[in-house]
Amino acid sequence: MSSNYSSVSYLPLHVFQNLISHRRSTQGCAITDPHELRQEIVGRLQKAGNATGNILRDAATNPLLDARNYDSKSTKPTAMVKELLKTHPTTLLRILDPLLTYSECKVFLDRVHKECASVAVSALKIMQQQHSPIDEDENYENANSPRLSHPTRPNFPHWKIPSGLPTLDAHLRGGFPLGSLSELVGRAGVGKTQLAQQLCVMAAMQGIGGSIYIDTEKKMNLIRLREIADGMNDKAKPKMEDHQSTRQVLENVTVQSLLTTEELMTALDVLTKEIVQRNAQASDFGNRKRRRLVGSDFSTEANPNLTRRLPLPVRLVVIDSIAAPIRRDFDLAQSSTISTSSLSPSSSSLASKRASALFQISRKLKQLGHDHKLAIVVVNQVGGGGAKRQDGKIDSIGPVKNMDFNDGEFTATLGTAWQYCVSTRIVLEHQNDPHKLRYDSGIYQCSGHSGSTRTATIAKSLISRNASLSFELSGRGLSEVAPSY
Amino acid sequence: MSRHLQDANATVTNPLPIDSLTTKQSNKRPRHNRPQPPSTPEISIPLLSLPLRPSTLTALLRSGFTTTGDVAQSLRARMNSEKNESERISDGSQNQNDDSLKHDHFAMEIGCSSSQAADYTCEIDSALKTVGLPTISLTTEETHDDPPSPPFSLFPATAAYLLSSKNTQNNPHATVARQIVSFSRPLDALLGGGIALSELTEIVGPPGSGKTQLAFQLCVDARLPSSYGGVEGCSVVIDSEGSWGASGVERCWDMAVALVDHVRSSARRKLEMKNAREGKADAALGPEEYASLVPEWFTPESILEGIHIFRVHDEASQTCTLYDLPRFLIEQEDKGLPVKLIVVDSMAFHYRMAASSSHSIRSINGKSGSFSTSPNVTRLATLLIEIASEFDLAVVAINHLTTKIDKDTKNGGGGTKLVPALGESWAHAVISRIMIDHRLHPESSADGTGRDVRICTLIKSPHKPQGTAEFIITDKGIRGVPSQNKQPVHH
Repeated sequence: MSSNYSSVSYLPLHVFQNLISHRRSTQGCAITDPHELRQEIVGRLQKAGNATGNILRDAATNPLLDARNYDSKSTKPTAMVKELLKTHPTTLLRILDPLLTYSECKVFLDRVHKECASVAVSALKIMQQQHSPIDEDENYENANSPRLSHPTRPNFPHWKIPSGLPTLDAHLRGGFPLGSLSELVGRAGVGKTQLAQQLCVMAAMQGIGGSIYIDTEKKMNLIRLREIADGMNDKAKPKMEDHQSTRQVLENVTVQSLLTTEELMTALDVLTKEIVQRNAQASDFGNRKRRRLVGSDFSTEANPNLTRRLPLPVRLVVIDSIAAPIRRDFDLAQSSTISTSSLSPSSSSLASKRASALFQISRKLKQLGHDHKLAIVVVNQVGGGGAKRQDGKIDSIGPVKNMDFNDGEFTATLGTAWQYCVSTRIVLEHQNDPHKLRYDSGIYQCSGHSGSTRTATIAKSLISRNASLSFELSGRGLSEVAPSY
Repeated sequence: MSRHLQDANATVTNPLPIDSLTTKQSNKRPRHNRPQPPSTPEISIPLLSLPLRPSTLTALLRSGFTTTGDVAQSLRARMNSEKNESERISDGSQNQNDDSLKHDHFAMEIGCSSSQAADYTCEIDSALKTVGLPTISLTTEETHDDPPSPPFSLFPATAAYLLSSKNTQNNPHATVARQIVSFSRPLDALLGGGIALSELTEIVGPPGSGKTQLAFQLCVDARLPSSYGGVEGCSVVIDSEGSWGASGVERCWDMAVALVDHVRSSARRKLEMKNAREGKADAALGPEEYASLVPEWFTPESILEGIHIFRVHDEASQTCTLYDLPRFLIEQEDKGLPVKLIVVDSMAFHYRMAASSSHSIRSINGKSGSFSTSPNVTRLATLLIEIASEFDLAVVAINHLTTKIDKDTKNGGGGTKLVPALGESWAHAVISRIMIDHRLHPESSADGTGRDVRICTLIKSPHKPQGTAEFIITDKGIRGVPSQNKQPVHH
C-alpha cells in the first residue's frame, strides 16, 4: 500500500484538504489551498532532509543496499513518507514552521497514517477465496464455463502447486502454497534443482500456471526439463499429445541467468512487469479462446488452433539458488567482499550486511508472491560444518546448525536470518553419502549412485508436522518409493 | 467514580472529528482507573512550555510576552476600553470587525498585522486546549476541529482504589476473564492463567519453533464465550511475514473446529451429568437446553470472521497501520464486536532490513549492533502499550532472535550468541517475555510426537516467577504434553 506513496508529493489531495483549522483559515494568513499546501510541505521536508544529510550519508556507506530505497529517477532525496513517519510532531512543527500549528501537525500525521495503512481482510474471506478458482476473471461465469480440452481449471486443491511426490503433497495439503516462500535445502547432487524443475513441469501441465526460473549457478539444463516433462506426461491421465503438453511446459517457463546479488535485486524489481504481461496474455487468450470455440465441441480436432499455444499466468518463481550470489558477495570465510567499503572488514559487520540483504530479498519476494499469487521456491545450499562450540552454543557467524540434522555435520547456509524468512522448508538428504569414497581392494569406489534412494523431510511448515518420505531420481524426474531401511 | 466520569464527559460538548484518538476516548469510553479532577482555576503558564511554532514564539518573546497571562491581559485591555465605542457602532458590525478590534491592541504590541495576531491567538488557544487548560481568547465559539481535553489526569489514583476496581489484573473479585487461554494447561499455569489483557507480551524464539502456531491458537481462543472463561473478543493480526495467508488460515480453521467441538462436547457432557443427577437420565438433549449452554454464534465460521488480518509489506506500512489501529478498534467496538487481542507477527521482520552500516558497530559491552531501529521501535512499543490499556486488550508481539557478537574474553572471545532482536529499549518496554524453543533432545517416541514438543520459558513477567512449561503442536492446535506431569517447572 504505502509503496504507492513513497514520496509525500504523491499523497492524495484530500489529506491536505481542510487541514488548517477553520479559525485560522478565516484570518487569511495560512495557506489553505491543498495543492499549494502540499507543495510547500514537500519543499520544506526536502530542505530539512538536505540540511541534516542523513539520507545522503546512508546511501554513501552502502551503495549496494541503501540506494535501492530511493527514487531512481532523481539523485537528490525527495520527501519520503518513511522519513515523515519517523519524525515526531514537534520536529515536524519546527520543519514546517509557519505552515501548520501543533494540532494541525498531529491531524496531518493522523491522515497520513490512515492513508498509508493497509486494509483488513477477515480470515474467513481468505479461506473462501481459497475455495474459488485462482483466476478471478470478471467476464467469466464460472458456473457455466465450458471445460476446455486443456485443463485450465485445475481439479486439485487450489492455491497449491503439487510436486509429484504423493506423500509430500498429502502432508502439505496439495503442494507448495501460492503466496508464500518455500525453500529446498540439501547437499550437492541430492536433487534440489531436479525437484524445482519438476515443480515447473507440474505447474504447467496441470494448467495451474507458468514459471519463471532464475538460475544463478548456470545449472539449468533444458534437455533435462524436457525429459521430466515427457516423463510426467507418461504418468498423467488424461493423456495429452506428447509434443503438445511438453510444448506447453516449455513455452510457459522463462529462464533468467544472474550472478550477483545486485543483479538479483534488479531482476526482482522488473519481474513484476514480466508477470503482469504474461498474466494479461493468458487472460486475453482465455477470452479469445472462448469466443473462437466452434459450436460446443471442445475437442482438439475441431479446434486445432486452441491447442497450439496456451499461455498460462505466472504462478511459480524458482530461484536456484539463493545461496550462490549471497556467498559470492558476502563471503564470510574470508573477510573481503566485492563491494569493499571504507568500513572495517570485520566479519560482524559483514554478517549483518548479509542478514539485511537477505531480509530485503525475502521482503521483495514475499510481496511479489502476495500481490501476484505466486509460489516462490528458493533453493539453498548446504555448507561444510561450521565449528561447533564446546559449550553447545550455536556458532552463528557462518552456517547455523539445522535442527533436523542429527549429526550436525552439515548445516544449511545463510544463517539464522534466512530461516526466519521462509514459511516452508523441505530438506533433501542422501541415505548413503555419495561423495564418500571407499577404499576397497586397492581402488577407490564411490558408494552412492544416481539411482540411490533419497529422503525428503518437511522441516518447517505451517500446516504439516515433520514428515519424511523417500524418493529416487530417474529419467522421468523424481518419484516416490517405499522407504528402504 | 462514575460521577467523576460523567463530569468528564460533560465538558466535551460538541461532536468531534474522527481524526484524533483522544476525541473518541473522552466521548465514549470511561478512562480506566483514573478519577477526573474538578475544574481548574485560571492559571497562567509560560509560553515556552506550550507547543507553539518557532515563528510564533520568537514574535511573542521579542515583544515581551512571556506567559499566557500577558497575552490575556493584552486582549482584555483592548476589550475594556473599547466597550463604549462598540456600543456606538451600529449593530451591523460583523464578527470579523470585532475580532480585529480585539486584536488591534495586541497586534500593535507585537508589531504585526491584526490578522496575524488573531492567528497567534488561535494557536495559543489550541495549544492550551491540548494541555487541558481554559483558553485565553474571549470568543465562545468552538470550532469542530479544536483538540479536546488532555489525555492525562492531574490527579493520581491511590493503590486501594485501583485494587478495588474491577479491571485490575489478578483481582480475585474480577467477574470477567482477564486472560486469553492457550489450550495447554502447563502453559496457562506458567503465565498465570494465560496471556494477560491490557499488557504487551512478547513471544520470541528461533525459526520454526511454533510462535506463529501459538498466535493462531490465541486468536481462536480469544473468541471463547465468557461462559467458558473466555474473553469473547475478536482479534487483529498485523501480518508482516505472510504466514497468515492461505496456509495460516487453514490452520486457524482446524483449530477453530477443534475448539468448537471441544466446547460443544463439554457442554453436552455437563448437561448429561446434570440430567443424570436430577434423575432425567434418559431425556434427550433438547435444543433449548443445549443452546443455553453454548451460544449460537459460536461456530468456526464466526471465529474466523472475527480474525482481521492486515498484511503489511514494509516498515512504513506497518507503522502506519499501527498508528491507524485505534480508529479501526473504535469502529469494531461500535459494531458490537470488540477486539480483545492484537498480534503483531512479526515485529522484527521489517526492521532487520536496515543495514547497520550507517552506525559503527557498538562493541565491548555487547550492545546489539545489528540494526539501528531504536527510536521508531520504542515509539511503537509505547503506542502498543497505550492501545493495550486504553482498549483493554492483549497485545502479543512476535520477535526474532538475532546473533550478537560476544566480545567478552571470558568465554574465549569471538563467539556469538542468539539474543532477541529489536534491541534493549524494546526489551524494557514489553511487560512479559516468553521464549519458545524446540526441546533439546527430542526423543523419538512411538507415536512420533517426540519432535513436536516445545519448551516455553517465561523470561520476564511482573505476575509470575520464571519457569518453563512444555506443549506440543497437534493437528488440533496447541495442547499440553499428554504423558507428562502437568505442572510447570518454576525456578
